[in-house]
Amino acid sequence: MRETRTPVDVACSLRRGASLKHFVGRLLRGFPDIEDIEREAFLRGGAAEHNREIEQPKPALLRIAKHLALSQLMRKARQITQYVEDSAESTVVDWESPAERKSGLREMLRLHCEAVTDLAPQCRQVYLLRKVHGFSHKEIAAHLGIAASTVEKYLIKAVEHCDRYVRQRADSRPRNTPNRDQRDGHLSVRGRKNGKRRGTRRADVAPAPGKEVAHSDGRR
Amino acid sequence: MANVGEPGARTSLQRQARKWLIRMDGDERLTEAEKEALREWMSRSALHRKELVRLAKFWGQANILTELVGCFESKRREHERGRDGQNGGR
Repeated sequence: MRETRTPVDVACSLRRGASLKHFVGRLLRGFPDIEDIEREAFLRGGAAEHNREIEQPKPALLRIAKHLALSQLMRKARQITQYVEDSAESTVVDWESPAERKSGLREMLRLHCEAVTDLAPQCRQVYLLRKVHGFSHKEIAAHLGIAASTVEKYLIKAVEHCDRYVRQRADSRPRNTPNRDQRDGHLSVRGRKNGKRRGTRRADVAPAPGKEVAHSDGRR
Repeated sequence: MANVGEPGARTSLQRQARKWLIRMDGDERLTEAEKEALREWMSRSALHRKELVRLAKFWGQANILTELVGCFESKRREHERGRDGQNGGR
C-alpha cells in the first residue's frame, strides 16, 4: 500500500526527456505560490506518515502530492461517471490499457500541456490548480481570493479551449506513431505556434473578480 | 430538441455541456432536482448525451496533468540548486 503505483506513475518516465522539461518550464512561468501548495501536501501527508521515513523529502513529498491530487480527481471522475452514464458507456479513462501505456500517455500529456499554454494567465492558474493539484473549487477560490463562480467560469473556459485543442491535434496525429521525437527537442517548439501570448506575464496580478471574465463564453 | 443540427444550436449545446461538466466537477453533489434536469437535458437528443460523455472523458484524461506536480518540483529544485549551489553536501 505504501508503494502505490498509480496508473499515471507509469507516465513518469515521460519526464525524462529534456525537451519535455523545457516545454513545461515555459508553461510554468508565472505560476505562483507553488511552495504553499506543496507545503500543504506535505503537512497532510506528514500527518499520515509521522514524518518518519521522509529521508529524502522531495521525492516523498512529490509522491504524496501527486497521490493526493490524483485520488481526489479520480473520486470526482467516478462521481461524474455515475451522473452521466446510464448505459454501458464508461467515461472513466483507462490508463492501464496496453495501447495507452505504450504510446498514448506521453502524447496525451504533451497535448494537454500544449493546450494549457494558450490559456490566459489566471484561467490557466485555476485550471492547473484543479487538474494538477486536485484543488477543489472552493480551495481554488480561497487560494486565489476569487469567487467560486469565477472559478467555474475559468474552468468552463479552460475546458472549451483545451478540449478543442486536444481533439483537433489528436485527430491529426495518428495514435500509434512511435514517439520518435522523444529525444530530439521538437517538443519545445510546438506550443509556440500561436504564440500571441509571449510577454503577457501577469499571472499574479489578481484581477477584480468579475472583470476579467467579461468575454468568457459570450454570456454577457 | 428542435434543431440541434443548426450551427447556433450546436454551439449552445456544447456550451451547456461544458456547464454541466463543471457543475458536476464542483464541490457539492447535484441535488435531486439537478439530477433530474441533467437527465432531461441528456435525453433531448443523442447529440446531447454524446457531447457530455465525450467531455467527461476529456476531463478524466486531463487528470494526466497531475504528472506536472513533478515538473513544478524539479523546476524549483533547479532554482534552489542555482541559488545555494556550492553547498555540496546532502
